[in-house]
Amino acid sequence: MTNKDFLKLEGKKSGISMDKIMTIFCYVALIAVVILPVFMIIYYTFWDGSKIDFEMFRSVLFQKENLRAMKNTLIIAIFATLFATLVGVFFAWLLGRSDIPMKGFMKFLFSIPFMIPPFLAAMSWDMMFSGRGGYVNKLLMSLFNLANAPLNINSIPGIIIIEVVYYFPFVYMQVVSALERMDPTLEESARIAGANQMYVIRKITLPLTVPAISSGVLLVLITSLSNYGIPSMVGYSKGIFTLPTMIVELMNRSGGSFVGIRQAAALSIVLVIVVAIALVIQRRLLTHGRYDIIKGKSMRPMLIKLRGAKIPLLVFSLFFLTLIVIAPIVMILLVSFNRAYGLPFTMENFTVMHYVNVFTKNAMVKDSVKNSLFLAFSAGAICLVLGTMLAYVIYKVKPKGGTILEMLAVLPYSLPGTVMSIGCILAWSGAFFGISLYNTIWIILVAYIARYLSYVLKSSSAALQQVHPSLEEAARSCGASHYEALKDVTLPLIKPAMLSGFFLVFLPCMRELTTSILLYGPKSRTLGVAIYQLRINGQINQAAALSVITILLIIIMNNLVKYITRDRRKL
Amino acid sequence: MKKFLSILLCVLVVLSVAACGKKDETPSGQGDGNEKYSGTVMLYTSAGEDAAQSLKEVFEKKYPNVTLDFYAATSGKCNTKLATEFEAGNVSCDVVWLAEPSGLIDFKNQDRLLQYKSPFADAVAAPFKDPDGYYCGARILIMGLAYSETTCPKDQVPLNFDGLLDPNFTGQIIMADPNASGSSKAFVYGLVHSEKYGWEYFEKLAEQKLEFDTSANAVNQKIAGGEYKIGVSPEHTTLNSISQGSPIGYQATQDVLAIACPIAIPKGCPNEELAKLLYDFILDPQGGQAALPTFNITPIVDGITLPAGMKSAKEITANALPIDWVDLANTGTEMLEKFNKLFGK
Repeated sequence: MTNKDFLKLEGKKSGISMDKIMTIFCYVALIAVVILPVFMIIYYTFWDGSKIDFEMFRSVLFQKENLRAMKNTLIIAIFATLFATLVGVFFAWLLGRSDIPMKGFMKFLFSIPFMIPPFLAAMSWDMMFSGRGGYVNKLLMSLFNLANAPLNINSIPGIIIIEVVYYFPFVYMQVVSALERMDPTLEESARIAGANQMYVIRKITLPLTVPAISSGVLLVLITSLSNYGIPSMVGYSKGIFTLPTMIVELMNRSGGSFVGIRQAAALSIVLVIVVAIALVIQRRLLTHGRYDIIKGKSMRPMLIKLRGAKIPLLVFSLFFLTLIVIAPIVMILLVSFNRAYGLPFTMENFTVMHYVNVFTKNAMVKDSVKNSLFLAFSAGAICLVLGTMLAYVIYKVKPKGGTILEMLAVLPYSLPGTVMSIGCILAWSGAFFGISLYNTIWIILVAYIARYLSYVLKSSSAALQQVHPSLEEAARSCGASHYEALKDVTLPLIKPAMLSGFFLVFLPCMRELTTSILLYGPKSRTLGVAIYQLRINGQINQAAALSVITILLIIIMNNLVKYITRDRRKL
Repeated sequence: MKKFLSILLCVLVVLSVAACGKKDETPSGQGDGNEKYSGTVMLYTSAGEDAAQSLKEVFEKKYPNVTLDFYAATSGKCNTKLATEFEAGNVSCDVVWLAEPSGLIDFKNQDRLLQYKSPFADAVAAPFKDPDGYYCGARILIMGLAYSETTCPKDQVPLNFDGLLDPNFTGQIIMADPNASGSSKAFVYGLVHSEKYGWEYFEKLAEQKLEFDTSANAVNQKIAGGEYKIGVSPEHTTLNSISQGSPIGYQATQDVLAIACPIAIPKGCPNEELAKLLYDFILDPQGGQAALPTFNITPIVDGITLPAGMKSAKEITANALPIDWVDLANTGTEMLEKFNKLFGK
């Protein structure tokens, strides 16, 4: 071995170590993508043009309706998180560890709620459950001879239910990949020692998946706290406001003027503080144990036989999935083939006109497909690299201020999309280093990365926490360089989690609206924007048709990427 | 030179209008020196993607070397985007076309708009434009009644706004939230300040359990779906749904609530010359105005062949409830606070 190779192995002596390079890179990337826009928002909140102004912040904070919105937000977030976690963990266990049939089909169904633009999902829920006119309500009323509609989706419990349905896949995706990578010997030894199945689940399986569960919980919590679509679609007509809907309301009330933007930014800061508190609590809870459960001698965990419970559980799962996944899709399909919105779904009202119109009459659609594919792929890939690197730096390198790095990465996700995009415009219109990205596709890409980075960070860090340091150490002691140990040992172990992180970014990017709507320029329309514009033109059926096309595109891309990145060693 | 040319153009147009009466065949721009304009002009509009696309086509036909790009979103989004651009010092919008003037009045007070007295603005009635020439109405939006054809038979549909107080409609009325929608805000202002209606009308509507949604489209969607029998909604939105075949009907009201949707040029726009060119073109009865009726939008000037049932700007001005836009911009927040209290928001 030459002296040079030796130096490379040692890492540190050949200049700066790789860990350090990665740490610095993470800081630089986060400064560009996150700190600058957020700084601009904070700056404009407290700077009224001539002096520092705290009064506005105070008055916004303590306004009665804003306080009420805060209360609603917390109630919805807490309950939605609780139920979404229960549902998500249950399905993750069922699909990850039991021998229930039709796993592939169910796994596919879980990703669908992500693909549906929220306004269409809300529309279909409205069509099924609204007090008047809801199909399910009508059915229940005629079945049980009820005078009043039994279900009312336009209420706080209604919002919670829709959010649970929308968000439980977050928990599911995190937990299922942890379960699949778990060392089966731990469970086996417990069984051998005489513990029954439930005891093993409670005492071994669940505690070992705590990092995955808690990162899923955090994602659901943050998403629920900052979601605009669902509460605005479902709660607006009954005057139920949450912080994000209130933020947009404040902007609208002032007719979009900058005073309104400042008030909205002030209220967003409250939201950010709430999210920061949640993050700190999560880290506190997680420091209590060690969760590195992947050790050297791992193999595929054995599947648990459900025996008599198999059929009832299968029926229950299929029924549940039908209700929450298939029904909205069917509604959207029906609307997209219906001649005009509001007509009964009969054969004479059937038409494919909307699909034809979307492609022939609308010049922007083709552009938007191209742009969205580009944005979703690039954002997914960049988040994949940056997010995993961040997770590695935060949990393995553990530099000083690791928590700050994590906070920074998660922060933009808690900001409402509109506020984040305002920050991006302010920051990237030439305010720093004369760089102006405004009205180009790049500003949308930057905003997407900032907004969805936390998805990959969460899924990769949950996986990394399970990898025992002894594995990398073993590689190093066998002569692998730091880079080789990382490439050949750590990364392959967390690859499933990284891939699910990629799709967590890819799926929402394909139909993202709230950020892109303010950022798109003449050449950078996205699919979400195109769907939105059809909708505000009143062409609901065409909007539904384009959504169906979007969902198909996502499914195709999803399978394509899975095919390309499949594990060749298994073949 | 520019001014001279535009005046010349204006005279020509007026002459041709006088000569040809209501003929809407415009000679194409060839040979008028229109080729000398070149570049890109950016329009922010709330008039909808379709209308913007057709404006782009007729404008680019007249000025073959100019590209018209547009940003189509709701008024609130256009305003937010523009306000942010002003703060960032990077304006990329040349002409902005909103649903109602209050946002532009704010911008005017902040000295954000360019003063421009278009020769075509003279044809626009005084209540529909800014006396100082900072903005000018460019289309008319009329608030009327939209009803569900499945749950509300035609003979039950009231002919005026006070008909909404019928017990038949209790819990069955919806409109766009005036906090979110400019046209709804103008509707509340117009009725509150008329002797016939006043706050009393809205107190009664509160007893009627009037409900709200975010936008005119959301309102029409819920009416078409049969969730509500009737609602207050802009005419062109409803007529567009009808022409697509939705089971929704439209009833114009005896008291007319008309809103002039204004255009303006932001200060610091990238291309002032083309901005003025587009501004003129939008107001031109032979240009942008003639393209509007296809989308059920009422032009703001007279002299355009209108489809059956569409009222002319003159007729509308004569019957419309007066709206003092400057006063609305100043007192709107107070009005909304009172409104929100009334409806327990």
